[in-house]
Amino acid sequence: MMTTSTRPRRRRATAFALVGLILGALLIGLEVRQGAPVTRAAGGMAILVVFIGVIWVFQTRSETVSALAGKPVDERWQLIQERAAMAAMGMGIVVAIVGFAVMEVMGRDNWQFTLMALVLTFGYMVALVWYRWRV
Amino acid sequence: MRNDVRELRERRGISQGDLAGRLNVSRQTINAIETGRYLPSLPLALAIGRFFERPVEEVFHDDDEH
Repeated sequence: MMTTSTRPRRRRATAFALVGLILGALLIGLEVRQGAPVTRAAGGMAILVVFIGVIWVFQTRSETVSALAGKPVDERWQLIQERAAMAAMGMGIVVAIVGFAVMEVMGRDNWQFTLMALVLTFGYMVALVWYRWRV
Repeated sequence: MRNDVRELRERRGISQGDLAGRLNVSRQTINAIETGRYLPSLPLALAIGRFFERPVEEVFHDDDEH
């Protein structure tokens, strides 16, 4: 059974925030290096910082935010999180198929959608095999 | 699947929040179990049975059971 203790959740939140900030800093560095204006890159970073801040501050108070941060408060929230992930994957599949078809009809390059479909399909297959042994 | 969690809890005079605290789950999870929206895992069902000092099959019943 899962615990509702706030201490491990706070530790997880700190790790989550740190990873987010490092990724954000890397992205801002890449954008600036590619010639993007510093203000635009800083704007992107600001959005990320606000998102991480909201999750960090509220995750021990809100069950939804806690689940968003990857730490469901109990087994029901774990189920909710799994269903939400499946729904998001379903949306990703729809986007990949529709995007591929639209680009095909327009006669434009659709490799991004092909890659997306490949990642989703193979990711699903690998996950099936992995969890076949783990669950 | 039906269950007697609400009845047993009310008989004990404790709130959903109290029961949730004793079982280390959220109050919403207890509410979802009581209203039949969520079927608990076997460990949680056993913990509920233990809490009410009842075998799990006395707390949770099949729909066609009388």
